[in-house]
Amino acid sequence: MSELLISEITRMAAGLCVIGLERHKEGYSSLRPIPHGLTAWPQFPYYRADRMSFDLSLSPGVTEHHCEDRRAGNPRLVDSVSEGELVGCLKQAEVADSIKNLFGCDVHPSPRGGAAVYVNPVDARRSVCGCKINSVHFRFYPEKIRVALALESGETLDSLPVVDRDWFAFAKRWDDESQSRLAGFFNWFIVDQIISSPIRFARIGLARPDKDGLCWLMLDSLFPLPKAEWVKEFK
Amino acid sequence: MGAPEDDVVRIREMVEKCLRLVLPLGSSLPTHDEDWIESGLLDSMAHVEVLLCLENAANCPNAFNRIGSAPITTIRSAIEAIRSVASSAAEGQSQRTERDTIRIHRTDRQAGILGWGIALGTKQVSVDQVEHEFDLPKGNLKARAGIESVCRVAENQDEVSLATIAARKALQMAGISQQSVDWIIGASETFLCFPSLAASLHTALLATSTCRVLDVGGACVGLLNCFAVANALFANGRVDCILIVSSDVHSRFLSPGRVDGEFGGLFGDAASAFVLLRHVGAGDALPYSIAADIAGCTGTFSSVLRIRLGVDGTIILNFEGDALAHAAIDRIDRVISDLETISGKSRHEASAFAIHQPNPRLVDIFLRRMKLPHEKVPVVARLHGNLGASTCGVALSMALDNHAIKPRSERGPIFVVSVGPGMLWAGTVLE
Repeated sequence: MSELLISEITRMAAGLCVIGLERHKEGYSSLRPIPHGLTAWPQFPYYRADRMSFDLSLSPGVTEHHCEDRRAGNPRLVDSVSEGELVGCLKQAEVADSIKNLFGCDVHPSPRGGAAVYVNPVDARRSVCGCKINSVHFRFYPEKIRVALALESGETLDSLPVVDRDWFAFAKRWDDESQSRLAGFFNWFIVDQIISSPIRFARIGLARPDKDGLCWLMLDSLFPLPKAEWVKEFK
Repeated sequence: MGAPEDDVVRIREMVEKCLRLVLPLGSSLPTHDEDWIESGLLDSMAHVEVLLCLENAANCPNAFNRIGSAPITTIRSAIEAIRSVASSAAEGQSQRTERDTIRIHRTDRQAGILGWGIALGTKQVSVDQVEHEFDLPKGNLKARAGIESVCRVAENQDEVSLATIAARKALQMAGISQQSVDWIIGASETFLCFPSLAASLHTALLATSTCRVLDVGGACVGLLNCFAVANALFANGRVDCILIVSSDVHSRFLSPGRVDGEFGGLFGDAASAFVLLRHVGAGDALPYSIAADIAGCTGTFSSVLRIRLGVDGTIILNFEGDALAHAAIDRIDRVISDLETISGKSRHEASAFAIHQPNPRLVDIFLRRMKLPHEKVPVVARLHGNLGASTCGVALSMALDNHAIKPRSERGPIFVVSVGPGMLWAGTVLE
């Protein structure tokens, strides 16, 4: 049995992707438990900051870029920690001080003309990493959210798809609102909450290679997580 | 923008181009009213990519996350949305979004380039000598960067003296007295003094006391920033003549002992100047003028080149050459593609490309990638080094020497494109 502190629950086409932190002597490292015989969790009735136990085994198809993959069974909730404690643990896991150090390689601009960036899978040394952020900006499209992040390094990631389950569900409640009102609320009130939070932190993930063999960067987690009390500020 | 029917054709081409970038190779384009999502042509991720590509191509960032009504999921709705954004911008209505303002990308061509001039550092220094000075292995710069020599100022030259020579040449060519200049706009990445470059040049030229001065940053993009500012200033009907100048003396700033030779050894010293005059010529006698321009900043690549002064005046340099080269080539390629879309002018129609030339090797890679002939890019870096903002200026000046003398009907557009630390990028089509 291995114990993981759940740090990411993200949306993907096949279901949910889960990442947890495994404790070791020097700190923490990320592992991605994947249910046997599946590529994602159809449901995952747990939350970030939950401490869970799994039966983990090395995934047969593990790649260097998604080296965190593990086959997992028998998930059980042990206990939970606070969001602040989780971010404290994340800061002792994979953390980069520059975009290049996120995955140990250069990122490349989208050949499609947007501002998204990708890495070549053969260059990437991992598929998730944390970074300190100074600012964030949300953009809303039908069924999709993108963010721009200003990293503490002075660099920016200008178009990251938001796959964070909690942020997505938070925004989803305003599905009927116009995108401009929603963007206004997020980019003034919510961004203020994030910027003024002592636990502001982002975890950037790598998608698996697409049909062209490119691994796109995405926003796996954004801390602080959205709060229920923020909802009443939407006017 | 042009006539409404021209707009529809041009915008449709833009929309189809963005769709082609995202659709799997060999897929046919959807019909005018075929829903991209419902038909299964695009998944929602690819849909966002198309919208972002359209915003980029139409130069209207954040436009489509602002439109709260019908989602853009057909070619028809995309064309209508872009036309609506463009027409609102043209009417001067408020289009401010959270981060950006809609920009009118095709310019009104209020002014033409009537004069131009350059001044190169008078000392031609061989690459062997540069390698020796920077204590680099023999052949290092020549083999890796393709530089044969750099031009450097003599002891009695500096940014102001170079700028003055270039400006006088440009004014003389335009047949304009310095007393007629309404604005002097300067750009320099090495002149870190006050009075600034533009103010010093104002004094050196004895411009009138009512001639205004402005210094513009942007390092290698500085000259294109000057053009953008000048173009905007012509909106004031009282402005008739603007002098733009770039001038850099790298040899005293990026000198041996202060920076690595693999970076500092690439640079030369030069200035360029351009005189823009309102409403001149007609028909075939029309001078080159700004037909379209775009610019921006991509912070993702801001760390690949950073230069700052330490407390003791030392230079702290972060230079990731390979990463910078890849990012620069990608960006120049993209800027040219976007300029083609915005201006409606193909790269194959162009008479010349006055592009930034960090080093000759990158120019070779760029030309191979773009499938363009060498003769369309004036040679600057190979013989003179990277001249900062003046690289584009010298290249543009050489291109104008060759093509501005031709009747308008017999010459093609000139694409001017540069990238700089930030990563700043800018592109202009002169026509």
